[in-house]
Amino acid sequence: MRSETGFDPTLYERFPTRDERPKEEEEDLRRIWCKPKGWEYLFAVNNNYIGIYYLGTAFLFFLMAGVLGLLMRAQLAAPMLEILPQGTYNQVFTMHGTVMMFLFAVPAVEAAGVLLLPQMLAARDLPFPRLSAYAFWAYAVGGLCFFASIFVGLAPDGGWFMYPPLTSKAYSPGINTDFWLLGIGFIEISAIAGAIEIIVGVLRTRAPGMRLDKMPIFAWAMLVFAVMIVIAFPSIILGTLLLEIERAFNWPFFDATRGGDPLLWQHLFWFFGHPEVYIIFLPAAGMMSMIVATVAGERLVGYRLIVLAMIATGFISFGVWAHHMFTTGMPPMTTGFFSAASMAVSVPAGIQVFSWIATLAIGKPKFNAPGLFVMGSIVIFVTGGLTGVMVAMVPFDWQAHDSYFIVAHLHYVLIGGMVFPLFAAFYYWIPMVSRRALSERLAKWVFGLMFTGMNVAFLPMHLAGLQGMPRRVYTYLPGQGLELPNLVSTVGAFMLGLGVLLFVVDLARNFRLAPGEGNAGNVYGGGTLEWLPSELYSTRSIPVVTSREPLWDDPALADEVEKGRYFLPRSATGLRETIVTSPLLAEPQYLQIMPGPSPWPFAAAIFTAGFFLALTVQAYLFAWVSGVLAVISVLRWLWETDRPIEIEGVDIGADIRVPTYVTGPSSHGWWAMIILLVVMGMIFLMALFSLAFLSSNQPGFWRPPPPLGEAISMLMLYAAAIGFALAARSVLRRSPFWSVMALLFSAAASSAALGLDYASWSGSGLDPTASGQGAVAYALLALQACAAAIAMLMALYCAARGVRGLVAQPRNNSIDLTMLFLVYTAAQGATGALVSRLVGVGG
Amino acid sequence: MKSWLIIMGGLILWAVHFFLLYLLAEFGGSGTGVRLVASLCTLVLLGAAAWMFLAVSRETPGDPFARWRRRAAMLALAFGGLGIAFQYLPVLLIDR
Amino acid sequence: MTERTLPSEGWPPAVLDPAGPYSEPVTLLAWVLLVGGTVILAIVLAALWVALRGSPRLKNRLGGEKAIWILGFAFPSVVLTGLLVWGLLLTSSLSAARVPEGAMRVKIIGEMWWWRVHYQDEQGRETLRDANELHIPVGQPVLLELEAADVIHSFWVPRLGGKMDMIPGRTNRLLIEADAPGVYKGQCAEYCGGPHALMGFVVVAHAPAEFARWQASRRPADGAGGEGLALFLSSGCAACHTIRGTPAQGLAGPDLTHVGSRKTLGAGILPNNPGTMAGWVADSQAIKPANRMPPYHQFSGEELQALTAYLVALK
Repeated sequence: MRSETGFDPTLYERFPTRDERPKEEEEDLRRIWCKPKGWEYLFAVNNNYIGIYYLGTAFLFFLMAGVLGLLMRAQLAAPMLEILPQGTYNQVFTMHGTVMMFLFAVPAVEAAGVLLLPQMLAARDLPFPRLSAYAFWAYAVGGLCFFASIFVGLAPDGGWFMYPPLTSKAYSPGINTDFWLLGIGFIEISAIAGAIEIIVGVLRTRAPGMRLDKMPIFAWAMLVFAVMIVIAFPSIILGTLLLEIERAFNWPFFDATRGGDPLLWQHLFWFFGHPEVYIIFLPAAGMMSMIVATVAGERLVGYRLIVLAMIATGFISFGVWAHHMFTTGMPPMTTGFFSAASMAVSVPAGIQVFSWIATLAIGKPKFNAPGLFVMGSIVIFVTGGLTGVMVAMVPFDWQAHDSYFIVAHLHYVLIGGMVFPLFAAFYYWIPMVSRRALSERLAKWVFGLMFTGMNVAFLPMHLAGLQGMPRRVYTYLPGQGLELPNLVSTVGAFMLGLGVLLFVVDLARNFRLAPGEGNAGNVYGGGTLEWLPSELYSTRSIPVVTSREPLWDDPALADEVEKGRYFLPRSATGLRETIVTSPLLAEPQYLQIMPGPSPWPFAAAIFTAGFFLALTVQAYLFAWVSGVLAVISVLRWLWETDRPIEIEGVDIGADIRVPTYVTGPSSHGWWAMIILLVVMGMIFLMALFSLAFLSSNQPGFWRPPPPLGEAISMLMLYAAAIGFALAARSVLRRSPFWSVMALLFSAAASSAALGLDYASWSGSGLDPTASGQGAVAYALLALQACAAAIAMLMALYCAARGVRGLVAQPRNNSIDLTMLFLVYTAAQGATGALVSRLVGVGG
Repeated sequence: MKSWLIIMGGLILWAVHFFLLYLLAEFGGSGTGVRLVASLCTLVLLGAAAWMFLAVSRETPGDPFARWRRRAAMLALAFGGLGIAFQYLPVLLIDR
Repeated sequence: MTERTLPSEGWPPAVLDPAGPYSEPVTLLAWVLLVGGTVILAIVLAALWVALRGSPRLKNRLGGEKAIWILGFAFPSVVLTGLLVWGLLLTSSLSAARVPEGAMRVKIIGEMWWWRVHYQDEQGRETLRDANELHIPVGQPVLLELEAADVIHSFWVPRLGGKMDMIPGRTNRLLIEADAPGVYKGQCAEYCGGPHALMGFVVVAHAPAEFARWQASRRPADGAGGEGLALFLSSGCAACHTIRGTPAQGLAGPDLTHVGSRKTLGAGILPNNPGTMAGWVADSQAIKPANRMPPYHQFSGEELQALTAYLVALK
């Protein structure tokens, strides 16, 4: 077989080794990856803890948003009830949707990835444990504060997609909408952080030999999921930024009376919002594929088809956003494109469903708890998929859109496509993290109640929709035939709630957190690596992977792994570490030294939350203090992470030696930076789209931009900035001092160019509050200012490290990554300077 | 990178086609000129998919991973090609 | 609570009970989709049943990539292509991008939480203003120009056609037509805050001769109104409402020139009779919370009666 990195695959034949490993190795591992005590639980960064915290918090939001759903159903049980007053109901339905989508669904699947992936890939941890911790705490603190707004009547009330102008200052003057923008801000941060973590984790920390085609399907799902987040979330990040700026500073992005356009928000929102549905569905489908194989006791049929189906879903889901806008008066041909893509996206789903059925057919399916939820999920999801095809048909959607038919459809898709798989996953994987499995006997009741309740609740909503009941109504008039379907729905919703309650009872009785104390084990007989005996350091040694279900194919594997007969049976450096492997064939490349527990990610998260919350309640001084403290905390946590150690090369088992510090394109830091730059690039691209969109839809408000000639000086400065940044990397070998200086020059050149750009726009007399054009033009400058400020901060950080003598190496990751960011900043600035002067130039 | 481009080639072509068609319609309307350009894009991208399909199918994979990659790429190109044709139907069938 | 019932409806469901050429083809499509979807669901359930409980021979057939190709790829692809072609052709033929000859034109503007209705002649000149109720002749297509005054609303009368959003800064167009005389209910379908749930609408379709009579009866009020009109003018009602033929020229609220002849009050939510009218005037906030009309508790019983009598007489 050819090699990807020059690693000789015949070396794998040395494993399992035969020699007895010394006892102390295991004790060392235990000591290095030890359990936190007392307060230290807040500072834990290990995925076993963060994963559980994360999943637990997401589940808490599921319960709370579920209670909101039950309140809504109580209010709608009969016409003209007054259980919830109108204003409260409007807040409750907005929070139900928002919390379910943003604070439960996305974090829950992300949490499952954090918890399961290292185990499944036999890595000791995810590559950026402190980032996970930060993402979790920001989400937990921010999410809980956001949720609390409902108790004081300050919760948002514009619906989970917050269409302006209803949500603009004129029609929502309170801070309710700002709470929404704040709550979403947190989930944006944690989603992006998680996506970076998961992409790098899946591609770079797999067990040696786990080629792409041997990767567990869940890892594929999480990979596609994370890439989709990177492409989709920037759109909502930009959207929420613009809406908040419009509300705070009166820049009319979405105000049609001043050359903005409410439809711009809809495009930005749904370009994120529809992929979001698949972002939620794909990881759940990945779990289904894993569980189905175990339930059937057979290998998954059509592995390659499923992988392709998931990738195809990822692509096509970016071509369906405007099917939420079929009734906005979009030209018929354009609706046709979105209709076609919306239908095409159901094909990969069909492939997955029939793969699961085929797998069940070749095996001997067991009707255990995960099995029941898997089967229930198939039934519910297919029903939702079929109504999905219906509403993808434009003329039918003209009738169904924004009616209860849609409410029914989306709940079938999301409950069948995400909630039921998640419950299957709870039953299936809880024995991995708990000392006791959940009750199989109770599970039958939980499943029965949830499945029946779900159908009783949502099936009648199809009818209510066809009868003409619009969604988001706090009540309805009698005499329209809506009484019966609504009453039935309410009964069903409470059955569903009862099922969930029973599950919570089961959790309380049986869930006992295991890390480091022995778990319930492989009760369902799964074949993938997460079922190897593991402790806080994951497995004792990291196996060589030769098949997709190593535990089924090599019954001795667990024992050999436990005896330390594979890779990394000890801590080679006395620190937390894992093996970084190559992206395609997973050949060992180097040993990553991982950061351990630290209070700084926690502090950074608290201050980040403080910053956003204080902004929302307009306590500006407190906000800025928090913001500065958050930045300081982040820098402090980073300070310890980029340190080459004395030992340059180590034996990771069977005399295979790898380096402990790598720089350049094969380092995991480089990969993470590239992903971050893609995120920033997408935000910027969406801002350019906004400019073009407004110029084409509101030409009457457009005036000639400043002349292109004024951009020449900026372009020259940006070119210089790129030159300096690249030079910083090449002179590092000779002089750390000049390297750092080059970074500072680069950042300064970018800032100077931005200053010129700003002067040119303000000299043109266009004001950001004057028109949509002005608003977007200055928003582009503001984005550039953010990038330039971060670039400057990074350069100064490198300078500080230089002063402390930490830039002494011939190669240094901090310098490399700063260089990448500076090059990007200059490129973005140059593109913005050019494009903003070209759009609408002909009038 | 090359492996990824091969595996996802068909889907990348689909995405290029979709966004070309959307941007043409969003910023150009639905006149005859736009329809002609859209048709041309469709033909070119279908041609590209077919060409890539032939190129990949002629590959002789040396190892199991390359074999897996080749089959996956051919499937993706087939999906992508069909998808491109499917995506073109509105240009033919909707006259506004 | 006041009695609010309108003529009992709900069965058959409005979307499946079309009353015009712009809803009927969609109903056929809906039936095909609903029945076809049910059949496909049955096929999937049967396949799942076979996988779980079927004979070994059947299970074998189902348990392979071939089955995935046929059931998961080929079958849906064929069905979807057929549906897409139908859907696209239907989109093309129903869309208001093509306006039929002789269509009547009406501009409707969505407000929080009611509707302005401006009838127009063929040249687009305004001929008559009304609110919350649209009268149309049977058998004639009606081109609606839909606009919004504040936030996004959506116009939806399911028995006559699909819905269309009303978006600030845009004029969207929608075609409807009724085949038979009758009253067709509609409602705002895009969440617009507050009492969005109570933003109803009524379309009244008349036979052509009847419609001509209706049109001829749209004359300004004669100015006589006695105590009722005096109260209307002195209590601030005229600041928001217009009654043509009187000094009341307010523009913020619905035009009341013909309020007595409307089928409903409060934008499609109450039957129109002296009792509901009095209730609405005295405290509309109890009926439709958060609507823009303040309560008028200050009227004595006699005053309320006089005002109500005047208003219901505005035909």
